[in-house]
Amino acid sequence: MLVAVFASAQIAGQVGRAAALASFARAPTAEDRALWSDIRIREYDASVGIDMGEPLAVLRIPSVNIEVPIYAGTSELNLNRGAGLIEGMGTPDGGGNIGIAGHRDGFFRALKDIKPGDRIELQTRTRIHAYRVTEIEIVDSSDPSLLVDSLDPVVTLVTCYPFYYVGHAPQRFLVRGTYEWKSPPSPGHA
Amino acid sequence: MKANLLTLTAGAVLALAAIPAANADPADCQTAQYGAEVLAKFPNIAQVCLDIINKDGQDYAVVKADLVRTRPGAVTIRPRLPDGTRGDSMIVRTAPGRRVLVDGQETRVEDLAVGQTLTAYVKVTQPEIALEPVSPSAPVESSPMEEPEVASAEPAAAMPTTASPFPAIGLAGFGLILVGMLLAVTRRRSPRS
Repeated sequence: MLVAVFASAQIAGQVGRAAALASFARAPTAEDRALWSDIRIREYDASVGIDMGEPLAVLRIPSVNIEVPIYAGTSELNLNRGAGLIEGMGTPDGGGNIGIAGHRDGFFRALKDIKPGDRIELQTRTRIHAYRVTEIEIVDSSDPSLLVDSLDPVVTLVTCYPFYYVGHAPQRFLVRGTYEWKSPPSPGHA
Repeated sequence: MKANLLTLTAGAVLALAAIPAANADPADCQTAQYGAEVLAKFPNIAQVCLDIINKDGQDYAVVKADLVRTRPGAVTIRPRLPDGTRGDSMIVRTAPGRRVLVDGQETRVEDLAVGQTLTAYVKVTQPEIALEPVSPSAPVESSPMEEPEVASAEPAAAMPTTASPFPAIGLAGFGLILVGMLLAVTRRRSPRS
């Protein structure tokens, strides 16, 4: 009976987390899109009929009201429907330098107001990983130095800069967050 | 009656689970005879060690470590030091399908994730390390301790493009229309010969 209760709780947790990720198939509200450009709204709406499947994770930054599904790769479709995990970099559950790209005139426009110390969350099927913003940098679009691998888990959010610019923006706005470890357990063999 | 039996069973399970904690003796960590290679690769092992256990005739130092990275066939951990910081990273090889104990739960190595706290066993006499097996009777599957992983200095990816050129194309088109209109007006105003 104990095993059954434990198993039921585990299954319910897994199903709940999967449902939380899947729920991001919904269209963002008008409030979510208040900062978006008209083109981005049209491109999002045009792609709504395409089944994206379950996202890899959900990115949340409460301080700037960002809540966006993350898909594998930075294809135009992925960036219209959410944010894209940059190929060749880390993953939310696997660690390393996790690169996440988003459109500056869409989901990531609110990054213009992010500040050091803000909390970044990555929710996967099994866990919620918390990061804290430590660096905000504007670099040339040809400078990928912040995309280098990292031994410890870090997240790097990438979008074009300036946020309001006609055509291909010449720079990139990068937000770096470091992992927030839970406090160590009390001394003794837990 | 059934309720009593259930309570007794649950109590027995909890008591069994508590045995290692009750027997833990960090003092053993200070007196253990660590091998020279072990000390070379893990110099602060005596400070990090929580207990010494014996499995299949072999002594192991028990340490807590944070999981900082997972890759197919390996995980990278950093032991927790007494001051709350983390020691050097080390790689633990994991065979596909292997199960280990994480927070008292049996977990497939493929399901391990960054941020978890793991219990690792370090052989006292040889530089080998393993993750806590799923039960006291399960064998400790250790692998040689590997040098701390050095992250690549090369960018893993090129900078992505996160805005389309359509606004610029639209602006260029609008500009051409204006130029066309300007030319048309200029031609109309110019005197015909």
